[in-house]
Amino acid sequence: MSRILGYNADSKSKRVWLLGSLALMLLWGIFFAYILIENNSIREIESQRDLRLAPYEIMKFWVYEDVRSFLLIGSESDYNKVYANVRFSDDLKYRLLGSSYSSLRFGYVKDISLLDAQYTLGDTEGIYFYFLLKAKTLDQEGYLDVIAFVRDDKIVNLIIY
Amino acid sequence: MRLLKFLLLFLLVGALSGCGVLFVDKSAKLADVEEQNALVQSTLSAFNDSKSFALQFRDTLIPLLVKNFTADDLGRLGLSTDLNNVVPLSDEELEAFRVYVVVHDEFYTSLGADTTREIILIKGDSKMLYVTAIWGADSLKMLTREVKDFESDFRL
Repeated sequence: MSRILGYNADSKSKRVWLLGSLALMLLWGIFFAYILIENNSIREIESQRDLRLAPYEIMKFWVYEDVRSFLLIGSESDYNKVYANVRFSDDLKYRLLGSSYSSLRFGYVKDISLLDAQYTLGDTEGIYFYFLLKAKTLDQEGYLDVIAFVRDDKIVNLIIY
Repeated sequence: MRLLKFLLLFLLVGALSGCGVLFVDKSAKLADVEEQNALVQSTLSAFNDSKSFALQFRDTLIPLLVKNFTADDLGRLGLSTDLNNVVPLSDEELEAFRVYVVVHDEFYTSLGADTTREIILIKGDSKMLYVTAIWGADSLKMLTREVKDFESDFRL
Protein backbone atom coordinates (compact mmCIF):
# COMPACT_ATOMS: atom_id res chain seq x y z
CA MET A 1 0.00 0.00 0.00
CA SER A 2 2.71 2.36 0.99
CA ARG A 3 4.57 1.48 -2.21
CA ILE A 4 1.43 2.29 -4.20
CA LEU A 5 0.97 5.55 -2.30
CA GLY A 6 4.66 6.35 -2.83
CA TYR A 7 4.29 5.65 -6.52
CA ASN A 8 1.23 7.95 -6.69
CA ALA A 9 2.99 10.71 -4.77
CA ASP A 10 6.01 10.43 -7.07
CA SER A 11 3.91 10.56 -10.19
CA LYS A 12 1.88 13.52 -8.87
CA SER A 13 5.06 15.40 -7.99
CA LYS A 14 6.50 14.70 -11.47
CA ARG A 15 3.27 15.93 -13.06
CA VAL A 16 3.36 19.09 -10.95
CA TRP A 17 6.97 19.66 -11.95
CA LEU A 18 6.19 19.06 -15.60
CA LEU A 19 3.22 21.42 -15.57
CA GLY A 20 5.19 23.95 -13.52
CA SER A 21 8.10 23.84 -15.94
CA LEU A 22 5.79 24.18 -18.92
CA ALA A 23 4.02 27.11 -17.31
CA LEU A 24 7.35 28.74 -16.54
CA MET A 25 8.63 28.17 -20.09
CA LEU A 26 5.42 29.66 -21.41
CA LEU A 27 5.82 32.67 -19.16
CA TRP A 28 9.42 33.15 -20.23
CA GLY A 29 8.37 32.75 -23.85
CA ILE A 30 5.74 35.44 -23.38
CA PHE A 31 8.30 37.60 -21.60
CA PHE A 32 10.86 37.32 -24.42
CA ALA A 33 8.18 37.91 -27.06
CA TYR A 34 7.09 40.98 -25.13
CA ILE A 35 10.70 42.25 -24.94
CA LEU A 36 11.08 41.71 -28.68
CA ILE A 37 7.84 43.49 -29.54
CA GLU A 38 8.51 46.36 -27.12
CA ASN A 39 12.06 46.80 -28.40
CA ASN A 40 10.82 47.04 -31.97
CA SER A 41 8.14 49.42 -30.88
CA ILE A 42 10.69 51.61 -29.01
CA ARG A 43 12.94 51.56 -32.08
CA GLU A 44 10.01 52.63 -34.22
CA ILE A 45 9.14 55.46 -31.84
CA GLU A 46 12.79 56.57 -31.87
CA SER A 47 12.81 56.53 -35.69
CA GLN A 48 9.97 59.06 -35.66
CA ARG A 49 12.14 61.61 -33.83
CA ASP A 50 12.45 64.81 -35.85
CA LEU A 51 16.20 65.28 -36.27
CA ARG A 52 16.16 68.25 -38.63
CA LEU A 53 17.78 70.56 -36.08
CA ALA A 54 19.95 67.95 -34.37
CA PRO A 55 23.10 68.45 -36.51
CA TYR A 56 22.95 72.23 -35.89
CA GLU A 57 22.44 71.74 -32.14
CA ILE A 58 25.40 69.36 -31.95
CA MET A 59 27.66 71.59 -34.05
CA LYS A 60 26.73 74.62 -31.96
CA PHE A 61 28.52 73.13 -28.97
CA TRP A 62 31.82 72.26 -30.58
CA VAL A 63 31.93 75.57 -32.44
CA TYR A 64 31.37 77.37 -29.13
CA GLU A 65 34.03 75.26 -27.42
CA ASP A 66 36.56 76.14 -30.13
CA VAL A 67 35.68 79.85 -29.99
CA ARG A 68 35.89 79.79 -26.20
CA SER A 69 39.24 78.05 -26.09
CA PHE A 70 40.60 80.51 -28.68
CA LEU A 71 39.42 83.52 -26.67
CA LEU A 72 40.82 82.13 -23.43
CA ILE A 73 44.37 81.57 -24.65
CA GLY A 74 46.50 82.83 -21.78
CA SER A 75 49.82 81.07 -22.13
CA GLU A 76 52.04 79.36 -24.63
CA SER A 77 50.81 75.92 -23.56
CA ASP A 78 47.17 77.06 -24.05
CA TYR A 79 48.18 78.36 -27.45
CA ASN A 80 49.78 75.05 -28.44
CA LYS A 81 46.77 73.10 -27.22
CA VAL A 82 44.35 75.35 -29.11
CA TYR A 83 46.54 75.28 -32.22
CA ALA A 84 46.49 71.48 -32.20
CA ASN A 85 42.82 70.97 -31.36
CA VAL A 86 40.62 73.72 -32.81
CA ARG A 87 38.77 72.98 -36.00
CA PHE A 88 39.78 76.21 -37.73
CA SER A 89 40.61 76.16 -41.43
CA ASP A 90 44.33 76.62 -42.15
CA ASP A 91 43.69 80.15 -43.39
CA LEU A 92 41.76 81.12 -40.26
CA LYS A 93 44.38 79.51 -38.03
CA TYR A 94 47.04 81.60 -39.70
CA ARG A 95 44.99 84.80 -39.49
CA LEU A 96 43.92 84.39 -35.85
CA LEU A 97 46.70 82.41 -34.24
CA GLY A 98 49.67 83.42 -36.37
CA SER A 99 52.66 81.13 -36.49
CA SER A 100 53.74 81.42 -32.84
CA TYR A 101 52.48 82.56 -29.46
CA SER A 102 52.59 86.26 -28.69
CA SER A 103 51.71 87.53 -25.22
CA LEU A 104 50.70 90.87 -26.75
CA ARG A 105 48.04 89.22 -28.83
CA PHE A 106 46.45 86.87 -26.29
CA GLY A 107 45.64 86.67 -22.61
CA TYR A 108 43.17 89.54 -22.26
CA VAL A 109 40.02 87.48 -21.69
CA LYS A 110 39.94 85.70 -18.33
CA ASP A 111 36.48 84.17 -18.35
CA ILE A 112 33.74 83.53 -20.88
CA SER A 113 30.14 82.51 -20.40
CA LEU A 114 27.60 81.71 -23.08
CA LEU A 115 24.37 83.71 -23.08
CA ASP A 116 22.88 82.72 -26.40
CA ALA A 117 23.77 80.52 -29.36
CA GLN A 118 21.94 80.43 -32.68
CA TYR A 119 22.49 79.32 -36.25
CA THR A 120 21.27 79.89 -39.78
CA LEU A 121 19.13 77.31 -41.55
CA GLY A 122 18.90 76.16 -45.11
CA ASP A 123 22.15 77.58 -46.43
CA THR A 124 23.87 75.02 -48.62
CA GLU A 125 27.32 76.66 -48.60
CA GLY A 126 27.77 76.43 -44.86
CA ILE A 127 26.27 77.43 -41.53
CA TYR A 128 26.69 80.68 -39.65
CA PHE A 129 26.68 80.41 -35.86
CA TYR A 130 26.02 83.39 -33.63
CA PHE A 131 27.13 83.49 -30.01
CA LEU A 132 26.39 86.15 -27.45
CA LEU A 133 29.10 85.88 -24.81
CA LYS A 134 29.79 87.55 -21.51
CA ALA A 135 33.51 88.12 -21.28
CA LYS A 136 35.56 89.09 -18.27
CA THR A 137 38.98 90.72 -18.57
CA LEU A 138 41.20 91.65 -15.61
CA ASP A 139 39.46 94.94 -14.99
CA GLN A 140 36.13 94.86 -16.81
CA GLU A 141 33.20 92.80 -17.96
CA GLY A 142 31.37 93.13 -21.24
CA TYR A 143 29.49 91.42 -24.02
CA LEU A 144 30.95 89.93 -27.17
CA ASP A 145 29.03 89.06 -30.29
CA VAL A 146 30.65 86.31 -32.30
CA ILE A 147 29.75 85.06 -35.76
CA ALA A 148 31.43 81.86 -36.90
CA PHE A 149 31.06 80.49 -40.40
CA VAL A 150 31.37 76.72 -40.61
CA ARG A 151 31.88 74.78 -43.81
CA ASP A 152 32.71 71.07 -44.06
CA ASP A 153 33.07 70.77 -40.27
CA LYS A 154 35.69 73.54 -40.15
CA ILE A 155 35.36 77.08 -38.86
CA VAL A 156 36.45 79.11 -41.86
CA ASN A 157 35.69 82.59 -40.55
CA LEU A 158 35.22 84.28 -37.21
CA ILE A 159 33.89 87.79 -36.61
CA ILE A 160 34.05 89.14 -33.08
CA TYR A 161 32.56 92.51 -32.21
CA MET B 1 13.03 22.26 -3.00
CA ARG B 2 12.07 25.42 -1.14
CA LEU B 3 15.14 27.15 -2.59
CA LEU B 4 14.11 26.11 -6.08
CA LYS B 5 10.60 27.46 -5.55
CA PHE B 6 12.06 30.71 -4.29
CA LEU B 7 14.31 30.90 -7.34
CA LEU B 8 11.40 30.32 -9.71
CA LEU B 9 9.34 32.95 -7.93
CA PHE B 10 12.28 35.33 -8.09
CA LEU B 11 12.64 34.76 -11.83
CA LEU B 12 8.94 35.30 -12.33
CA VAL B 13 8.94 38.55 -10.40
CA GLY B 14 12.07 39.62 -12.30
CA ALA B 15 10.41 38.92 -15.64
CA LEU B 16 7.28 40.85 -14.68
CA SER B 17 9.34 43.79 -13.42
CA GLY B 18 11.31 43.74 -16.70
CA CYS B 19 8.05 43.97 -18.64
CA GLY B 20 6.96 46.85 -16.40
CA VAL B 21 10.24 48.73 -16.93
CA LEU B 22 10.01 48.28 -20.69
CA PHE B 23 6.44 49.52 -20.70
CA VAL B 24 7.36 52.64 -18.69
CA ASP B 25 10.45 53.22 -20.87
CA LYS B 26 8.32 53.04 -24.00
CA SER B 27 5.80 55.54 -22.63
CA ALA B 28 8.59 57.92 -21.56
CA LYS B 29 10.28 57.60 -24.96
CA LEU B 30 7.01 58.29 -26.76
CA ALA B 31 6.38 61.40 -24.65
CA ASP B 32 9.97 62.59 -25.22
CA VAL B 33 9.80 62.10 -29.00
CA GLU B 34 6.41 63.84 -29.22
CA GLU B 35 7.67 66.75 -27.13
CA GLN B 36 10.84 67.14 -29.19
CA ASN B 37 9.02 66.88 -32.49
CA ALA B 38 6.56 69.57 -31.39
CA LEU B 39 9.50 71.79 -30.37
CA VAL B 40 11.30 71.32 -33.71
CA GLN B 41 8.09 72.00 -35.61
CA SER B 42 7.28 75.15 -33.63
CA THR B 43 10.89 76.40 -34.02
CA LEU B 44 10.80 75.91 -37.78
CA SER B 45 7.36 77.49 -38.11
CA ALA B 46 8.41 80.49 -36.01
CA PHE B 47 11.61 80.81 -38.08
CA ASN B 48 9.82 80.61 -41.44
CA ASP B 49 7.00 82.97 -40.42
CA SER B 50 9.24 85.64 -38.93
CA LYS B 51 11.78 85.39 -41.74
CA SER B 52 9.03 85.80 -44.37
CA PHE B 53 7.69 88.78 -42.44
CA ALA B 54 11.15 90.34 -42.12
CA LEU B 55 12.01 89.85 -45.80
CA GLN B 56 9.12 92.15 -46.76
CA PHE B 57 11.05 95.03 -45.18
CA ARG B 58 14.57 94.18 -46.31
CA ASP B 59 14.72 96.71 -49.15
CA THR B 60 13.16 99.53 -47.17
CA LEU B 61 14.72 98.94 -43.76
CA ILE B 62 18.39 98.82 -44.73
CA PRO B 63 18.52 102.34 -46.29
CA LEU B 64 16.92 103.59 -43.07
CA LEU B 65 19.53 101.89 -40.88
CA VAL B 66 22.40 103.92 -42.30
CA LYS B 67 20.65 107.17 -41.36
CA ASN B 68 19.25 108.66 -38.19
CA PHE B 69 15.62 107.67 -38.15
CA THR B 70 12.69 108.05 -35.80
CA ALA B 71 9.83 105.84 -34.66
CA ASP B 72 7.66 107.65 -37.21
CA ASP B 73 9.99 106.60 -40.04
CA LEU B 74 9.65 103.01 -38.90
CA GLY B 75 5.91 103.46 -38.55
CA ARG B 76 5.68 104.51 -42.20
CA LEU B 77 7.13 101.07 -43.06
CA GLY B 78 4.47 99.46 -40.89
CA LEU B 79 6.86 98.64 -38.05
CA SER B 80 7.10 99.76 -34.47
CA THR B 81 9.64 99.06 -31.75
CA ASP B 82 11.47 101.05 -29.12
CA LEU B 83 14.67 102.65 -30.37
CA ASN B 84 16.55 102.76 -27.07
CA ASN B 85 19.27 100.49 -28.41
CA VAL B 86 19.68 102.29 -31.71
CA VAL B 87 22.75 104.47 -31.22
CA PRO B 88 22.40 107.77 -33.17
CA LEU B 89 25.00 108.28 -35.88
CA SER B 90 27.34 111.26 -35.71
CA ASP B 91 27.91 113.46 -38.77
CA GLU B 92 31.18 111.65 -39.43
CA GLU B 93 29.44 108.28 -39.27
CA LEU B 94 26.60 109.44 -41.50
CA GLU B 95 29.20 110.53 -44.01
CA ALA B 96 30.97 107.15 -43.71
CA PHE B 97 27.76 105.36 -44.65
CA ARG B 98 26.82 107.61 -47.57
CA VAL B 99 28.05 104.72 -49.69
CA TYR B 100 27.69 101.33 -48.10
CA VAL B 101 27.71 97.61 -48.80
CA VAL B 102 25.71 95.01 -46.91
CA VAL B 103 28.31 92.34 -46.17
CA HIS B 104 26.20 90.06 -44.02
CA ASP B 105 22.45 89.64 -43.67
CA GLU B 106 21.39 86.34 -42.16
CA PHE B 107 18.57 84.99 -40.01
CA TYR B 108 19.39 82.95 -36.92
CA THR B 109 17.41 80.60 -34.73
CA SER B 110 17.89 77.69 -32.31
CA LEU B 111 15.77 74.89 -30.92
CA GLY B 112 12.85 76.34 -28.96
CA ALA B 113 13.23 79.93 -30.24
CA ASP B 114 9.95 81.72 -30.96
CA THR B 115 11.64 84.72 -32.56
CA THR B 116 14.27 85.06 -35.28
CA ARG B 117 17.45 87.11 -35.01
CA GLU B 118 18.53 88.98 -38.12
CA ILE B 119 22.12 90.18 -38.07
CA ILE B 120 23.03 92.79 -40.65
CA LEU B 121 26.59 94.03 -41.08
CA ILE B 122 26.90 97.11 -43.24
CA LYS B 123 30.31 98.26 -44.38
CA GLY B 124 30.86 101.97 -44.90
CA ASP B 125 34.00 104.01 -45.33
CA SER B 126 36.35 102.67 -42.58
CA LYS B 127 33.36 101.90 -40.39
CA MET B 128 31.11 98.91 -39.81
CA LEU B 129 27.49 99.09 -38.71
CA TYR B 130 26.34 96.12 -36.63
CA VAL B 131 22.57 95.74 -36.60
CA THR B 132 20.50 93.13 -34.80
CA ALA B 133 16.77 92.88 -35.42
CA ILE B 134 14.64 90.44 -33.47
CA TRP B 135 11.57 89.48 -35.48
CA GLY B 136 8.34 87.85 -34.34
CA ALA B 137 5.86 86.27 -36.74
CA ASP B 138 4.22 89.64 -37.46
CA SER B 139 6.27 92.29 -35.68
CA LEU B 140 9.71 93.73 -35.10
CA LYS B 141 10.42 92.97 -31.43
CA MET B 142 13.76 94.72 -31.00
CA LEU B 143 16.33 96.68 -32.96
CA THR B 144 19.91 97.44 -31.94
CA ARG B 145 22.57 99.29 -33.87
CA GLU B 146 26.15 100.20 -33.15
CA VAL B 147 29.06 101.49 -35.20
CA LYS B 148 32.66 100.39 -34.89
CA ASP B 149 35.79 101.19 -36.78
CA PHE B 150 36.29 98.84 -39.63
CA GLU B 151 39.21 96.44 -39.38
CA SER B 152 41.32 96.20 -42.48
CA ASP B 153 41.41 92.39 -42.45
CA PHE B 154 37.67 92.04 -41.93
CA ARG B 155 36.37 89.28 -44.19
CA LEU B 156 33.12 87.41 -44.51
